[in-house]
Amino acid sequence: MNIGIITSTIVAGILILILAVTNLNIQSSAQELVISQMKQVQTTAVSDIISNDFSKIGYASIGDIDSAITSANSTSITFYSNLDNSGDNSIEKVTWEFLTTEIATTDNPNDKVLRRSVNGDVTDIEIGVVDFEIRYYSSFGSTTPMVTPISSANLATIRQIEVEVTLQSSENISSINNNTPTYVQNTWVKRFTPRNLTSNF
Amino acid sequence: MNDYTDLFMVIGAMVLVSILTQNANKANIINKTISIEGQYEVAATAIAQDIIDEARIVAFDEETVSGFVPVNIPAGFTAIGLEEANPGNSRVVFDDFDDYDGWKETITNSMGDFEVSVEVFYIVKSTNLKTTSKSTLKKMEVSVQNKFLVESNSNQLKTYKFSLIRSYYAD
Repeated sequence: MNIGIITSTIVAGILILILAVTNLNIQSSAQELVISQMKQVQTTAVSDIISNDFSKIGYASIGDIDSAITSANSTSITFYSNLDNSGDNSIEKVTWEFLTTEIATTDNPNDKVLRRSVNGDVTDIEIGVVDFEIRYYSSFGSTTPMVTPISSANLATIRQIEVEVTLQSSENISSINNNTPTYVQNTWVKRFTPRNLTSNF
Repeated sequence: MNDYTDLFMVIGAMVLVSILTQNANKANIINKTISIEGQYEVAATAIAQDIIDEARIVAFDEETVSGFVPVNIPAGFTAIGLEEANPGNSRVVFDDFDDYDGWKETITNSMGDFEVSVEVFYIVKSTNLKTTSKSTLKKMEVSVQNKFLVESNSNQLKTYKFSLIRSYYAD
């Protein structure tokens, strides 16, 4: 067989292989980018709801709420607020809770249900939340969170609440040469200073 | 045609494939950089918003902390800056809006370290420009930097600035 044909075949094979790998990488990158953008949109959606609720802790359009926060744990919180700013000053009982219930409909084994409850009306957020942490601080700018669960005696001393939410993609995006499951992740952290928690001045 | 024709064709093909691969890799890197930058920009915004939210709750001026108002407004307001001693550079002692002036800290969260600095100053009502005279308007500028947020084509850190104008009469 002609040595030139053999060499050409080998070189052509290498080139086709390089093109195939490059094509796969481009597809993988595009897929990751799309999923990442979707996750960012979903993270923004969750953060908008959290921001709406947590900023209004203890809010009443008329008068004050004595015990704005009734329970505070590292993955759950219950508080009172006139959430919808209703004219009749009806106060809603709001609960945020990160359940241990795994979402069975996705490939990701880490995502769980984030539950928001307003006066018993339950909304389960099932868009890939893998972590939901709440940290409580008794003074502005403090770097040492209060020990959770917060005892009922210390609930009134909460001044700031830091919420950290981590979302992951439902789909595994690990590449062909990596068997470890990999998910696109997005984290949002915000420390709230609800105006209606008694100020420390 | 000479004996080197095949060789030239192979070299040409390799060059074309190399250029294609290089461009594809470059596009991948740009995509990932944009994606990561987006996440860090959200985090930087959240941190600046935290400081601004906090500063909105404290009194407008040291003279109004107790709930009383100065006789002469705005001449009765204090100069910009912290009145109390603050050896630990902690926000715990801040009790009025301009106490945040000059405050700097590295805030660390799960996204990493963010360098935060704050400037507060009086502004002219008609122009919103900085003034050394006292007025009923104070402006806060929060600057946030992170090592992953750099200017394009350089290693210089980007500074994200967020501002709030607070009016004494709006309190």
